[in-house]
Amino acid sequence: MVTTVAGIVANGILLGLVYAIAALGLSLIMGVMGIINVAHSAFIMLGSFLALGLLEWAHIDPIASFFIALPIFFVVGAVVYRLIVTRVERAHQTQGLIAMFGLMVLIENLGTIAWTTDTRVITVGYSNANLTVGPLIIADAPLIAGVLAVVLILALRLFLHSTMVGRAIRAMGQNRDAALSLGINVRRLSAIMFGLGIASAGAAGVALAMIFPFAPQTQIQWLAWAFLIVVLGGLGRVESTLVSALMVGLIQTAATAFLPFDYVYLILYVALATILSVRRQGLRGVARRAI
Amino acid sequence: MTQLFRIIRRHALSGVAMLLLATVHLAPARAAGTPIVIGGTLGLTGAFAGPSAEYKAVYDYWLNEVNKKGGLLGRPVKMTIYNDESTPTIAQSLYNRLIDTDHADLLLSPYTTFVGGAIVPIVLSHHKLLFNGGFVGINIFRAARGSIIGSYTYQEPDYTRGLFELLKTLPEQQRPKRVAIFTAQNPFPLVVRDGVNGQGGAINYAKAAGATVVVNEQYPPGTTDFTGLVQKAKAAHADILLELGLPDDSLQVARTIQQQGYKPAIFCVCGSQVSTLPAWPKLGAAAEGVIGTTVSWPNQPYRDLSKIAAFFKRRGYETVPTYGIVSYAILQVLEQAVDGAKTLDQDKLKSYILSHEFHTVAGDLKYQADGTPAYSEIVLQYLHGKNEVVWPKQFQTSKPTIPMP
Repeated sequence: MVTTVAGIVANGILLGLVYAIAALGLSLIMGVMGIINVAHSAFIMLGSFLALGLLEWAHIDPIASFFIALPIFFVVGAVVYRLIVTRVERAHQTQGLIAMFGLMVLIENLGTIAWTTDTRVITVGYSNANLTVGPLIIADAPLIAGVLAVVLILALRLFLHSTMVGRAIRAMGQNRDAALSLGINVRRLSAIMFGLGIASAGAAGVALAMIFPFAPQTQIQWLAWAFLIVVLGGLGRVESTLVSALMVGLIQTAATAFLPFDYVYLILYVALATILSVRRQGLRGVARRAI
Repeated sequence: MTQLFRIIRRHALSGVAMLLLATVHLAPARAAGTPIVIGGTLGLTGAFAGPSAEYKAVYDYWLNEVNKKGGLLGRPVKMTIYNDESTPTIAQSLYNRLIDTDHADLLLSPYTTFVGGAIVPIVLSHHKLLFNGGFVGINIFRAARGSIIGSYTYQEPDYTRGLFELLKTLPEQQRPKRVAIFTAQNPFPLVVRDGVNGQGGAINYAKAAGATVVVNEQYPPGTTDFTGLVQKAKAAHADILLELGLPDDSLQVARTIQQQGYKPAIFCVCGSQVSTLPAWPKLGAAAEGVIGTTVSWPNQPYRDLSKIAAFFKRRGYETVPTYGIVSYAILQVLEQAVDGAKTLDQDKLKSYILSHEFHTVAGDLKYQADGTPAYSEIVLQYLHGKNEVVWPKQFQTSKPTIPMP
């Protein structure tokens, strides 16, 4: 029994970390800027193909690609912000949603043209390996992806809470107009924030590619999971994304261990509905934009 | 003078006639007249763009070949293949267009049951035959009563039949007895598991083989993590694992099994022909020893099979993908049926097809009343970095390695 519980906890945490990294960028952009970035999963897909390209062409390990992806996708995010988001950020939220949806369709179609719809997998030394701790078997790839997720979450939290720019971004998230009146360069901070969100998505794509098969048209599944985590965690702090993701991972793993798999997602969504009916803002959320 | 002129003219005319005859015999056959139009759709963009592009390449290859040989019924052949964007509703409107506007003489199905199933009622309501190298679906075939002509040589209930036939060839003590089955919640794999009207299906085959199903789980589309399922199978000491899912699921299950250190004696990705796809070798060690299935193999003495294998080799494939075989086979059936029946009349073609044998890359096909070819299957095992035929015995390229390495 102890072994079973330990297995559930270990696998649940690893799965939760996978969900956390998939949801992080979406949570940041939604929480601070109020933009529902449905193109989030398209950037995850681009991250996965970046990892594949770097591995095949330059033999760069996905762990290194994870860190390479961050600045690349930060720049991509800042450019997308300048070209698209600035035109819709002050408009009604529906317009932003449509613009992001259009971007998602565009990226997915370009991805299909460039890479076709064939499924890809990344296999490196640790892809099929595992770590055995007593009776517990922990797969290396999710473990590494989980560690990368923790590193990214901690780095973002440190940035947002311990740097001047981070504090300014949080201030902007709480009240954009007040920040503007205090002379804060809101446009620049928004570009940084959007860049960070897209950088997180790109890096998540690299991490997810270490574990899961991927294709241009299948990464949309991560959007559903990311929304689930963000809705459950609430538009709150960075760590609330982590907490809700871990909760989802643990519920899923525990339900799988004790029930037929048919019921697992049902239980997950019933739990989500129950939590949201008790706390409308999610587990640790706040009423308005804040991180 | 007139007599001389007549003699000269007769000789001249004979010479011209002989020259013409010689020209006809020496020149390649050249079709004339209104082209025969073969219509269909493929998901050239969208979810099925990858396989659909290969279908299109095969179609183009065949079209070139058939027109070089003089076309069909002495007429050139034209193919009108629209892009259905992998979407059933778009495919439906395009088939209406093919029938009503383009007046296509013969119709080819789209790729996958998801899109193909949607266009069947349109085709059948116009009393057309559907030449189907695009999808399986035993219930669809049966409902169409022979108006859908297939080229997949095994339908969903028989997907695991070859595997259990292989087990029968093993000594009794070597045969695995505890079966775990993972099935995607999708109508197609569910029939692979359950069969139809009590016939076929993995569960029935397992029972007939004297095995016990110790884990029988189904998972929804978009399932991200199979660790729990794999641990259940491992805890139940299942020595044969059947993954009845779509390619992405099967790749993920294969990797999870490897990561979890689970070594069933047999692991079959029996829900699709995923082990013939280019992604399979990329799994590395996780691919090794896994069993899969396909329609035919280049070592079989089937018409043009080595030619198609070479065609896909040139396209970078190590293993001929199953869809490459069935897409060419259905065109061979179409060609031989039109040539044999000497008509485009759909009823006459149907009668001809259901009563004759066709020599194709998928085998020498004899049709059943429901339009499906009689059963044949190849069981593959991925050994030492490549697929080997392990059943049927007469086509073995390697002995099966059971338990898997």
